[in-house]
Amino acid sequence: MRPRPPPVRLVLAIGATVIAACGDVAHPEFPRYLDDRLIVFAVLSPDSTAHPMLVWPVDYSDPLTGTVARVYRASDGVWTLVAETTEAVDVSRCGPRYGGLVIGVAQCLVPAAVLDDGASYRVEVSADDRATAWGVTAAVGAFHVETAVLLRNSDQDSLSSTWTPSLATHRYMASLRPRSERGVFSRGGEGWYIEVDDTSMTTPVPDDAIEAAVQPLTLDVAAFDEHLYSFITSGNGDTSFSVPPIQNVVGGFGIVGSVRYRSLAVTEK
Amino acid sequence: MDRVARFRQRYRHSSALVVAIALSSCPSPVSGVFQDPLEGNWRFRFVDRESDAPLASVHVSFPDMSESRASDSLGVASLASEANLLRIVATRVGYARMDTVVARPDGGTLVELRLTRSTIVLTSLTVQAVRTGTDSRELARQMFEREVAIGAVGMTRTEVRAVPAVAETDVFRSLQSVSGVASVNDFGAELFVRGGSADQVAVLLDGAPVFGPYHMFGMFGLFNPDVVESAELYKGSIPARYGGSLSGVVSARQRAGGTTGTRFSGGLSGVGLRAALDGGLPWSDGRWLAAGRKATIDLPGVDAPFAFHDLNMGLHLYPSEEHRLGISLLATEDRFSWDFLGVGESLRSDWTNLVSSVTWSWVRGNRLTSDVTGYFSRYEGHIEVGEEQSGLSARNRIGAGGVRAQIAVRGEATGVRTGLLVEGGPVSLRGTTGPGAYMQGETLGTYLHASVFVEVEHWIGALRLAPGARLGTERNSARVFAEPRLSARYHLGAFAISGSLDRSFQFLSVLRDDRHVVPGAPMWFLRGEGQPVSTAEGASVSLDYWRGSRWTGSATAWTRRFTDISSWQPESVRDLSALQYHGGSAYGWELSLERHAGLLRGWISYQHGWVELRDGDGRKYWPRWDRRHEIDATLNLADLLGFSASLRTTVGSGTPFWFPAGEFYGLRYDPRRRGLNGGRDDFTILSNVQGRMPYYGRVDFSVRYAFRWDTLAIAPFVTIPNITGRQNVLTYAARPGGSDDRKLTPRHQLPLFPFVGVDFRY
Repeated sequence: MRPRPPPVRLVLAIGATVIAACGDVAHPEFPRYLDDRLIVFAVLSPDSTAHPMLVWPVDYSDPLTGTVARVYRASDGVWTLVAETTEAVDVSRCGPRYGGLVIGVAQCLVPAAVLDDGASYRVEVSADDRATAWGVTAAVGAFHVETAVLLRNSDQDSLSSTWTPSLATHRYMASLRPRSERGVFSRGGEGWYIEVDDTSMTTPVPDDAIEAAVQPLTLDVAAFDEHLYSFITSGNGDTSFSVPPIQNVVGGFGIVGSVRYRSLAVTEK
Repeated sequence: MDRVARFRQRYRHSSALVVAIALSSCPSPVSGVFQDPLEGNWRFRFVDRESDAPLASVHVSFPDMSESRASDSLGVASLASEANLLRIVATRVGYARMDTVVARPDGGTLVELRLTRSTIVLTSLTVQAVRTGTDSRELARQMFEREVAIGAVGMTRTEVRAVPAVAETDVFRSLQSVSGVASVNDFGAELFVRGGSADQVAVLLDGAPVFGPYHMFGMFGLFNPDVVESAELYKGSIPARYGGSLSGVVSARQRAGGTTGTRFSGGLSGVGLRAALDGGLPWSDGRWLAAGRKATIDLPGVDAPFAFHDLNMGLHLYPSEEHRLGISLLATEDRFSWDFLGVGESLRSDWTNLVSSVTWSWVRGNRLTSDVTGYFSRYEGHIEVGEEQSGLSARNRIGAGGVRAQIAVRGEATGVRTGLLVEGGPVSLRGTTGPGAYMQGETLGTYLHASVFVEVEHWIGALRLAPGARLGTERNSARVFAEPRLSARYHLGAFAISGSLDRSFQFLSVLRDDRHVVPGAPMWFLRGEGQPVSTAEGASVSLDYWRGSRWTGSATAWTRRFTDISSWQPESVRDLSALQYHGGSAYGWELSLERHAGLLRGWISYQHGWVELRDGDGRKYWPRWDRRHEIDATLNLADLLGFSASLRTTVGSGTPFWFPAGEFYGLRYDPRRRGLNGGRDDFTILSNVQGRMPYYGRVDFSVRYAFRWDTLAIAPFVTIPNITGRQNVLTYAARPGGSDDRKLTPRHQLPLFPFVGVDFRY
């Protein structure tokens, strides 16, 4: 005799189907306060005694208060305070260094200090009810561009240049200065540039890079420390599968790095 | 103790048995020890020659005595006769007729007779339909009888096909539908078992490990549904012969070919094209199989973002009644490449598997079986994410070779299975080319794992004691480990109560960011010396119910404790320094009921699970696979005028997520500004505060029509996943802001999207 299937099975199946078919979706509530960490962008340039830093909280449901930025120098294995500020200046002061990164909720703090080439610095930022964030970098040293020659050729123009070495520099980026911000488009629209490990280069230059360059032609060379270089060349954001860039801020997010820029008029041959 | 003493006396020359008894006093996964109170002094057991599955409903006639019998659900038939020689004629649909004479064995034990499958009796589709009702129960019963493994389930090809497919039938997605297995979202076929992550479930094909067991970032399983004969899933309570995984084992077996002629089968689906050829060797007793699958969404003028293909080959040779040689090969390749238009960024990933094994089996009567498997499994994975054509990538390579040997001795009340495993090979994980890769740094090592195991089984009346243990060492981590696997079962009429205690270690884990999930090839890494080794300890009890040949049911409760589970949640630095080792615990209970035969069959289950882990700072969190409640129902309306239909319903509570707390932005070198500029990249920062998605519900429906056109059997089908169109939440994107304007924006899972396809067989 065949056993009769228990009705509970059918009831459960129908019930599950009905529940699955329901379209009501109740989304969870967003908690009011979530995180106490800070985002810090501190790019030091020893060419200047003022060092603009952008700071904003991860969670800005509450405004940032009591912000303090400190810069320490390593000497004989000890961190010595060389600069400190509690004053948040107009955020536009950070514009020249961070460009479009300046956002409304950010504070701009500008500690003042003379930085020594190749020395190590620790940048530390704290604020009321927030975790202290810090990072360490080495100040890249001074250098100058010695030669910059553009060899005209019917097939492919090439650019050759040499410069002196810079202390604590991890990598250089060289570019022909564009005529405007609406120049050539590559690598997402910033224009043509090349990464260089050494202190000299000879590289072909695309025609449209020359066409978009300011006249007379000028070569810009930027020297980056390792941390800043890693940050600006890594990460994949604003897509479905974002990978955050390499950062060195402990207890928070962002970058503490160092950069220096040099330029030279290009000789055409 | 008297019984133990007798046993020791009987096997006093076997050091393995002495060790086994010293460890506990009992046995394990040894088949053939049945307690059915059958009458008569002749007993016959009919099994499938390929799978050893017991065959029910075999018609057995004894021409010399004008008697006939039918085998029961265990494949056993009996006859009262004093004769020492008997002529037997056995017939069964789907099997070749057997006409033989047998002699009474010493000791009066049962006689095992192996029937050979035959495809010439009925049309292949009809044969398949007939076998549908019996195979699932037979496999379940076989596993149940073979060993005390709580929660172990078997999935035959028929059951795999019974689950409505997302584009194509899939072994892993079918396993997701059984109790005790959780899924995280619609796009993944990965198995989350007993509170563990997907990489805690080892996947084996014919005994060889498969390190990249999924296609398309986990959307589909690696196994061609035309090729896998059956897959067994062990959940938490893993037999001692399996090692190296904490939470589960999927052991799949490639089917042997046919016995006569050449058969052709295949299909066309939304995934791609697949084809399989199999047949018997004309010059010897052997069978072969070759199958391939190619999937892409190539469209004219459109570059396919993904493609995968796989190739299966198998050869089974039967040089004598006692010996069998099986050769298995699986080669796969996945490629994914996608450029995010307008932002100059890309995601590329590819991975390959080469899985091969050779198994020699020796069956000597009903008492002794042994097999030796040599295997090699090579895996290579690659992820490149970031700036377009950057070449910044992470690469993973494993080349694992091994030998597994085991011998099983069975007696009336006691049996032992013992064996050894030696497995090793290089494992490398490299973020080689600089910053910006999926991960930075590298970890290299040579994996060398050697272990011995013993599974003992001993019956005391209706009590079946089945202790086991695994002892071994792993060289790279310089660890010696002992894994007790203790089980027992008490039979009470149609019910059986089982309990088990177990401990497992895992030396290889996948490096995957559990919070910012980047899909792609799994990246395995090996623990070095001094690094913690993942451990799980668990206990489980179950009540199993067998009612006639149609119904089975079970209720199971389990608890587990995890120690040093690897977790990679990089925020600031994407290197191995961000690797943490977490601990935690999990518990759950589940109910399941399955109807194996009849016009309407299928299974329904409810599971409650709870998982909580602690990170390196001692903070508790729920992993993303912590689904608290889930009801699964899979119903299959079998062949009705050529039509069959299946329905799968899953309703579950929401899985956890981390609330996004805010964003930070990237910087780029910008020649236009002679300096830095805010990049277009924005990065979500996840808080440590968790929420749960809304409850999940999905109904999949599939209908198939089978017909014949001359000698070609054709079965077109339509599958409609999420037929109700419910918008289940996959993840939340959040726009940061003040307390007034912050909100969660849901991204949804699989929409209502019908797939059509056709299966064929010649």
